[in-house]
Amino acid sequence: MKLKSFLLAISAVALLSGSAVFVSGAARAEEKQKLFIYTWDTYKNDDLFKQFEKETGIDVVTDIYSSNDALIAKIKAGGAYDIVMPSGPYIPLLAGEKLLQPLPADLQAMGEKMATNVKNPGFDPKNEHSLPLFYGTTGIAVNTKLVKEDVTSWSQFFTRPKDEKKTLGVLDDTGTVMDIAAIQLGRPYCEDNPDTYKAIQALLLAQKPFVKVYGATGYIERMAASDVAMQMAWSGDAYLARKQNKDIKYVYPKEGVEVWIDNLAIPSTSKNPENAKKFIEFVLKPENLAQYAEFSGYVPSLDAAKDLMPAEIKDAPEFNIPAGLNAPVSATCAPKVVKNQQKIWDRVLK
Amino acid sequence: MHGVRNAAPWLLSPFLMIMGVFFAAPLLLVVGYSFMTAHYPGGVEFPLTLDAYVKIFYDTDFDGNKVFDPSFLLICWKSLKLAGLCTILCLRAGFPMAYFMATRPPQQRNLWMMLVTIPFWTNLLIRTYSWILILRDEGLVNNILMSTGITSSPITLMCSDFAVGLGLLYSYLPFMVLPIYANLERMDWRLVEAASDLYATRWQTLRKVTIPLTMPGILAGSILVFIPSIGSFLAPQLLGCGQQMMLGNKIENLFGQGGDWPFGSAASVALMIIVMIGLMIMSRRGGIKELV
Repeated sequence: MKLKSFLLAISAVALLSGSAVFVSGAARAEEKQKLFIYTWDTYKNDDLFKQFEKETGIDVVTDIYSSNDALIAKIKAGGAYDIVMPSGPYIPLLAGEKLLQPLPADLQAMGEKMATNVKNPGFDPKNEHSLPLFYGTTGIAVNTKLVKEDVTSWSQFFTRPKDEKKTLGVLDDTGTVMDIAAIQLGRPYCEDNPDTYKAIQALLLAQKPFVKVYGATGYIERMAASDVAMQMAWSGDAYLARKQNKDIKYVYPKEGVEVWIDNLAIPSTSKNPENAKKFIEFVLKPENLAQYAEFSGYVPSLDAAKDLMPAEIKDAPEFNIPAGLNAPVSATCAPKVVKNQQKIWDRVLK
Repeated sequence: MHGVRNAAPWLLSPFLMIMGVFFAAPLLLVVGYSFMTAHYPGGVEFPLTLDAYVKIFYDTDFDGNKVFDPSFLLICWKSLKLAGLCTILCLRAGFPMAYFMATRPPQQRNLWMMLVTIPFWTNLLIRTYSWILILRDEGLVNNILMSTGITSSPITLMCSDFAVGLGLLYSYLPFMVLPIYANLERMDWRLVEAASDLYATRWQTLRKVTIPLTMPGILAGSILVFIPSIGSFLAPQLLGCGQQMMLGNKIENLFGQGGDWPFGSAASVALMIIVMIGLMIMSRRGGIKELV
C-alpha cells in the first residue's frame, strides 16, 4: 500500500506540474551582484554570459521567452529583469507603456557606430531606449531536393499549382506574415486601408491549401528533416538548418525581404541598471559580439564584429542582403492596424 | 459527530482562504476582465462593456459593418467534438486496461500501476514532440511502412484531426485508467462469481454487474479526460501544425499576439460554460449521485 500511495502522489505531482504555466519571477539576491537577463532561447549564449561573469564578478541569471508578447506581459506584471532583447516594432510599445528605462547618454551615443542597415532605426531613431544587437531578414528557405523549380520570388511561395500537395511552412508570427504579404502585394507595411486588408486576406487564404505547417516552434528541425519543401524563414534559422541539411538554400525573393532588428534594452523594473549597462558595453565589444553572432546565426549590428567572424559565416548568403534589394525594416503598426491584421490571421488559421 | 458540530467556525478559515486564493479570486478576475475594455498592447481598462461577448457572435469587417461570424462557435464545436471523441476512445481503451490490471495477482498490480504512471515522469511537451518524430513524413511509422514496401511514398499523418486526436488520447489515457482501476480493485468480486453462479453470461456479468459498480470510476475518469482535453493546447499546436485550432489555442492567441484580454476572458468563460454543460450531460447519463 505504501508504494501505491507513493505512485499516486507522483501522478498527482505530474498533473500539477503540467499546469504550471508561470515561471517564477526573478528573485533578488542579497549580497552578490546580479544581472537578470530575459531573452530568446536562441540568444541564450551561456559561454558568453560566463565570460561576462568572469570579467565583472556579476552573477548572470537567464530566463527565456518565446514571443515579444510574452515579454510585454511579464514586464507589465513587474518582472524585475535587467536586460531584455525585444524586436524593433515592440520598442515603441514598451517605451509607450513606460516599461523601458532611457539608456545612459554614452550608450545612446553608440548608436552612431551601428551598421548601415540598423543605424537610426525608425522604431527608435535616436537609440533613446534601445541599441540594435542582431539583425536579419525574412526570406524563403528552399529545399532544393524537394523543389525542382528555381525559386526567385514570393509569388512562387504564395501561388502553387492546383494539384500540388501541402508542402509549405509559414511562420505564425502575425507581424512577420503581414509584412511579407505587404511586400508581395507591393504595398507599404502597416497600411490602414480596407482594400489592403482584403487583398492580404485573399492572398493568405489562397495559399492555405498548400500550407503544411503554420508555426515557428521547432521549424528549424522541420527544415532540416525535409518536412517542408519551402519555408518562410528568418535568415539565421535558415543558416542553422542549412548547417544540418545541405539541400537547404536561403533565397532573397526579388520582391524584397523584411529586415528585422532585435535590440538590447533595460526594463524600467530593473533593479541593477548599472550592471545592465556593463553588460551592454561588454556585448557590444566587437570580439564578444562576433562570438555571439556566430552562436545565434544572425548578423551583428556592428560591422567591426562582422569583420572578425570566420569567412564561411560572414560570406554566407544568409548574412548578406543583395545590394539594391527592397529591404524595409519592419515597423510598429498603429493599434487599429494590428487589430485588423490579427483578424485576418484568425480567419486564415481557423 | 458532536465535537465536529460544535467546532469553532474560524477553524474553517484555512479552507476558505485556500478556496479564495486558488479558486474564487482567479475565477472572479477572469469574469471581471471579460466585461472590460481591451487595452493595447495587452491589459484591460475601463469602461465596462459587453463588447467581448458580442465578439463571440459578431465580427466587424474591414468596412466597419457588423456581421454574424460563426468562426468562434465553430472552434467551440470542434473542441467539443474532439474532446468528446477523446473521452469515448479513452474509455474504450482504458476500461480493458484497468480491468486487466485489477485482475492481476495483488503483488503484480503495483508494477502495472507504475507502468501506467511512467509517462508522467517526462514532461508532456517532450512526449508530444516525440509523437512528431513518430508521425512525420520521415518519421518512424512512415519509415517502417516504406522500408517493408507496404507503401511507396509517405502517408501524411501529421497536421490532421487524426494526429491531434491521437495526441489527446495518449496524453489523457492514464487519467481514465487510474480511477477505473481504483474502483475495480475495491469492487467485491464475489458479486461477479454470484452472477456466473446464476447463469449470467460473461457479457451479461460485465454489463449488469461490473460496469454499474464501476460507474463512479468511469465518470471520474471521463471528467478528468474531458476537461483538460477540451482546453488542450499542446496537441493541436504541435500535432495539428497550427491548422487545427481548438479553444485552448484561441484563448492563448487572444492573450498573446491578439492582445485582446477581455475577449480572451470571455472565451475562457465560454469554455467554462461548455465544460459545465458537458458535465451536466455526463451526470444525466451516469448519475452524478454515484460519484459522491
